[in-house]
Amino acid sequence: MTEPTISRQDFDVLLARAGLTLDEKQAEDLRHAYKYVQAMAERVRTPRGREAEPAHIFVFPHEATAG
Amino acid sequence: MLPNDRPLTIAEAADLIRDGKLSPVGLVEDCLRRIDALDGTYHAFIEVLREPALAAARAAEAEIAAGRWRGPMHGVPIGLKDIYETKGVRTTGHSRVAADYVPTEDATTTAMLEASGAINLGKLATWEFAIGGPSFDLPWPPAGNPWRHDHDPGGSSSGTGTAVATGMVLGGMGSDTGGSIRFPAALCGIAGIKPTYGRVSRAGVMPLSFSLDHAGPMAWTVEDCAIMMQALAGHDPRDPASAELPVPDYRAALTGDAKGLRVGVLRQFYETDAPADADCAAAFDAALAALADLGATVVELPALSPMQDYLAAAFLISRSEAFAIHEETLRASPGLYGEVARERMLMGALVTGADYVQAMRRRRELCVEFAAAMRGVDVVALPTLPTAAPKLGAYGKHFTIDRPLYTTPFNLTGSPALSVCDGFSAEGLPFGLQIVGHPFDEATVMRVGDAYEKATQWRGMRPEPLAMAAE
Repeated sequence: MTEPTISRQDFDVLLARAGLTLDEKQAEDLRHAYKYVQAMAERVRTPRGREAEPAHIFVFPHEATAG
Repeated sequence: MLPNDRPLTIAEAADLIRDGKLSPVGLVEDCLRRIDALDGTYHAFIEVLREPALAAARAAEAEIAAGRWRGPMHGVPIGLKDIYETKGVRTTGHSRVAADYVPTEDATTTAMLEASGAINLGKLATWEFAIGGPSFDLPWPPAGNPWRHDHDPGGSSSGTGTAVATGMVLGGMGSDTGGSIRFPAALCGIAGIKPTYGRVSRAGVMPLSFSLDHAGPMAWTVEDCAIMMQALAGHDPRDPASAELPVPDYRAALTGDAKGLRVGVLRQFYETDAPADADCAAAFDAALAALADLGATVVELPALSPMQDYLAAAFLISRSEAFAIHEETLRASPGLYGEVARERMLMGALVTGADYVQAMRRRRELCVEFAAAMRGVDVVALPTLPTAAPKLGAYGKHFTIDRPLYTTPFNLTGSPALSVCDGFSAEGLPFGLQIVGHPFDEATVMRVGDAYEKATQWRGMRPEPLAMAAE
């Protein structure tokens, strides 16, 4: 298993912010998997203009516009 | 049909039932005998609905005898992945978390299949909540591969793939967020279609990722998938993403040829971005030659962004949405989940809001890019997966990142995508050919798949589950 990309101290902050209480193995397994999240988050940040829209924008719910 | 006989397809059974030559009760009893003989080995079912199925079969038989044949699903035994809600019948998600959950309503698709006259034989094994698998720490074991029961059947619609291929049911429902219909369809050697996002209702199907989830059928042949799609497609006001578009006659679209069609080959994904095994790629090349023989013009698709870009956007979106759905339980009782589901969903807790929005912006760019690449072709073809089935338990917790499937990009684009069997490894394990279409053009996708199946020998080869069950 490769070394985690985040310290345990910093990772505990992320867990606390997410409201998660994990046992030691669960937390360590997730800390080792964090590298995947970081890599994916970096990969979607390709150059784009400020105006580039997301795939999903607000649509009125059917219930809000029906009759 | 005895357990040792070749199972019928839906199309074959439908004709016999319509003509009064096959009893729905007898057909259900045959499937139940097959389940009794096999499921102790293959673990495709979470729950077999024996008495309700027999009662429904008796009712179907009486109705048909009275001249009220509803159509080709009438009296046909099917199964539902255990994330499809069934009124009054436990729907577990293959999870300890929902082990006692009994819905008060049917999923829209459950009700549509019942209205078509299909008979639900039971609830089928899945990866936990369609994300965590294969797992060995859940209340029910994972399903086995129909060709070699100690191999992986793929997932997450694992039980559906296994039950269909072994003839325990004639068709079944899967769901597909990153490939969960096409992955098991390929590894089990059957047909499975992920319809266009919005074509088939998601209402009442346990959600994993609202913007990537698709519901769809799995069966032995594409023709059977077309029959099921006819019963399933259409607008549903219960699903906010449901499209209000006319539904074509899918079976009528199956012309048996590919004349006049242009097939774009997406070589980049399986040759450069994430190379397929040589035998898998060879099977695909032979499939392309068969499509050309059927009258298709095969052309190379222009270069796209690396497949990993598609996967990154899909990963961030699916994990975030999954965590949001399961947040309350994951905070309160993370130990209730199996290790694989828990860890995959918890990764969503580490995705920031900005990550999610950037992924959605990337998604739009990639959808536009793929639509442009598809201009001038009717369908895109590529292998479904890079390999045949490994041993059950060989997939690691993050295997789809380490060795990606070729299915996930089309969840991101929402395109209709079908997997059909296109050959076998030296070990006798199936490969899949993936056919991707323009939005809401499932008819052309299935036309190509059906023509391919009928022109090749693979539908004549079925697993011999009884021999393996006796091992």
